[in-house]
Amino acid sequence: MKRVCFIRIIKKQSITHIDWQFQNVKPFELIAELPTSFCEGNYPIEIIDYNDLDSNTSLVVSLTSTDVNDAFHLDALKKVFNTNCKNIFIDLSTHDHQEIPIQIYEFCRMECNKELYFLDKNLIDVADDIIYYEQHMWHAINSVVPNRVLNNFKQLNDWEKPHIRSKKGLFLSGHIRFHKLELLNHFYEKGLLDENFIWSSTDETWEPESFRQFIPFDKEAEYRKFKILERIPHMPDFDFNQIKKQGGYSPNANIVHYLSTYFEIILETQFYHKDTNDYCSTRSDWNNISEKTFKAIRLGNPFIMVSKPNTLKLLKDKFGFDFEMKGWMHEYDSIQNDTTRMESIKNKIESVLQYDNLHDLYYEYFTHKFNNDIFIENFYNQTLNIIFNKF
Amino acid sequence: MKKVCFFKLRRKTGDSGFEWFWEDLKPNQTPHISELITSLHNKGYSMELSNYDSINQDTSVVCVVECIDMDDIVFLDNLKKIFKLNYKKLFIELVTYDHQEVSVKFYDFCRAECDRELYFIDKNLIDVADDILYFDNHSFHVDMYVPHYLNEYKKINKWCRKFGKANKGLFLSGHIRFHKIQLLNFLYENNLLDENFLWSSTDEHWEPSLFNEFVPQSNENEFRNFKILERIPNMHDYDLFDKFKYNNYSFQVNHMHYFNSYFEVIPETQFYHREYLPGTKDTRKDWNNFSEKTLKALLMDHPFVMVSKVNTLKYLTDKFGFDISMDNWMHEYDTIENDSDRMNAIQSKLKNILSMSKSDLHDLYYEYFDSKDNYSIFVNNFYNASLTKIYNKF
Repeated sequence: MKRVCFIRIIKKQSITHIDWQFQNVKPFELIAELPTSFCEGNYPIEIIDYNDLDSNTSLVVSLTSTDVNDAFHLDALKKVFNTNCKNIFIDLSTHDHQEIPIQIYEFCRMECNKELYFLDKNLIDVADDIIYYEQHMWHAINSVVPNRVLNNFKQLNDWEKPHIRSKKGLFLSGHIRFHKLELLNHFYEKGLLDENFIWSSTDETWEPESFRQFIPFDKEAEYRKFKILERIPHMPDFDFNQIKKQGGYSPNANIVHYLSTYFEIILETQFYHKDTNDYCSTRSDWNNISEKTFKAIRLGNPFIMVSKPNTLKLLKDKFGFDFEMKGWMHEYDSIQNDTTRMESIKNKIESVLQYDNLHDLYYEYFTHKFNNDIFIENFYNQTLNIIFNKF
Repeated sequence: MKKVCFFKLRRKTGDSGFEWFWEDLKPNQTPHISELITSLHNKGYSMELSNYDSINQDTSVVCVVECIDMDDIVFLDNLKKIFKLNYKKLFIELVTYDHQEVSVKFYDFCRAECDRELYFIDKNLIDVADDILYFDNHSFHVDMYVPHYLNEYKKINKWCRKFGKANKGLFLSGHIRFHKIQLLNFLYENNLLDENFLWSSTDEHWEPSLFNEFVPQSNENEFRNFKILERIPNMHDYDLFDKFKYNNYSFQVNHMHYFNSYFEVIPETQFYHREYLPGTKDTRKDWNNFSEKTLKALLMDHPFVMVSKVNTLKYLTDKFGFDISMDNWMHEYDTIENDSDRMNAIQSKLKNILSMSKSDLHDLYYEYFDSKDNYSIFVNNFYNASLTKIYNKF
């Protein structure tokens, strides 16, 4: 039985001051995917309270912030490093941190004199002390596409084989990040969008405070000229019971979309590299995927990935995912130049829209690609095993 | 153990015109044309099945008639021969070959010629006479194909409650019968069709030999002026593997249509009463039947608007107990006797429904879907009860 303590560092803000506090994290609480996963997987773990830490206990600290300019935050981290424990795991995944500044890793390595690991969602192996972990894995299995829904989907999908689907593709754009709108606009201006796709997109009024992050300053002029702006927001299945319930939203997959189309355009969070040293900046040695990709994997849906270069190569090499077959290749994935890759993706999608065997191709992929098994075994379970073995 | 012989009286073209022959029926041998015997057998009704050659005074005989041609003397002679066989009771089965609006002359002929206990099995919802038993062959098909995936459908439909559906309505027109195209055209000319409906229709090239059966000559001028003709055929999920696999085919339910809509317009086979119209079969005022179109909506617990003869829904509720209304989903139009007035009421009803927001329709749909269990009613009151009534008469 391994002794593990899970805590999070949270910011407590009052009128007079800001304080960072430690909070125990228990399995099955909200935002407690990692301990919950271990608990559900029957890993032999004894959960220890923060006040009962000792030299036999591993400490997992999930950070709600990666702010390296906040001295109080850094002080709180130093306190963690000075606790009496066996080893320390800085969990940067649970609170969905992406493109994390390398300064936070460097600060921790410098200040911590114990065995130290980081858990993050970077697919690229940057250092030996970083372990891959993605909290969306738990959601993918428990709420985005639960097994019972997946089984129902598979049976209905098989039954629906004699029927032609209403649209060729699924294009759920989500936030108005530049690369998403650029691609959506490309198909709209070519008259290929409405005819071929179930599609959706928010507009600027959806989380307007993040506009500059979605559309960097140097892209705004081009963005303003997109004709697709006249058609968004286009949220056909949004806002029925509450504003957050939209097609591209992570808590659930709209299974009907997957029964109505033959392939999906997965619009991941980042596409263009941006080295601006500000909040729009991206890391060339960072690549991560989200629930958008997990949905397509769980549901066995052919897709075209709109993401950073080599995303699919990383998924294949690291976990063994198998996304290709004759007639469905991802040549564009390895193109380093972002603009060239975007052009290649546009050509690829246009070419797919002309396939006259999409129906057969879909069912061939759906029948022979078992990426959900790989998702469970190599991606989810194996990741948990690697972390557990370090405790 | 009840002794029963099932056979078909079939017609083929011989050297000297039509020839008639009989053919023994066995359960499950060719399920598409032996629905009654297969249903009774598969549901465990206790019967000893006899061949035609071994019929005796203890045997109930079910004679499935392929073709009803009262002008064919050979056919009538063959019927007479059957009436004279040595049997316990005779059941003339008119359902397997989907006979509808069967002429009363046929019933009268059989009653006059048969001097033993005689029953008819047909799909007329109206209780016309005590010697007529109700059975619908489509019960077998939908019960064979739909339930396998009904649970999966219901679970995913509940799971997708949080998402809006793509269309307000579903309108699968099938054959171009006048009333169907008239209603489709009404929606099209009022710009209510494409925006709101997942819809399909054949055109004149689909079984062209039946054109005047679909569109009586007296309606043809009006039909030719329908603007919707410029948009048909619209058959988006037809002909994928074979030409019979299309939306309205009873062996297939395209779940996507039900996932993607909040209500269905069910254009049944008959709507307008017709008499003495050239090229067109007469309809009977005392006949009403429905098809797999209605069964699908019932089994999927999909709210619907029925485009059919008067009182169709009244029969479904009174005779079988189907549960198809609720406070804000009523069928007032159903009892309007005058066909044109009923069509106007249906058009107003549809306009009314379509004026609702998708969000309101969404709530209404799930209120209906959550509160109904018409599959159980179908199995118990409709399918099994019909079989039991027939079995008890053997």
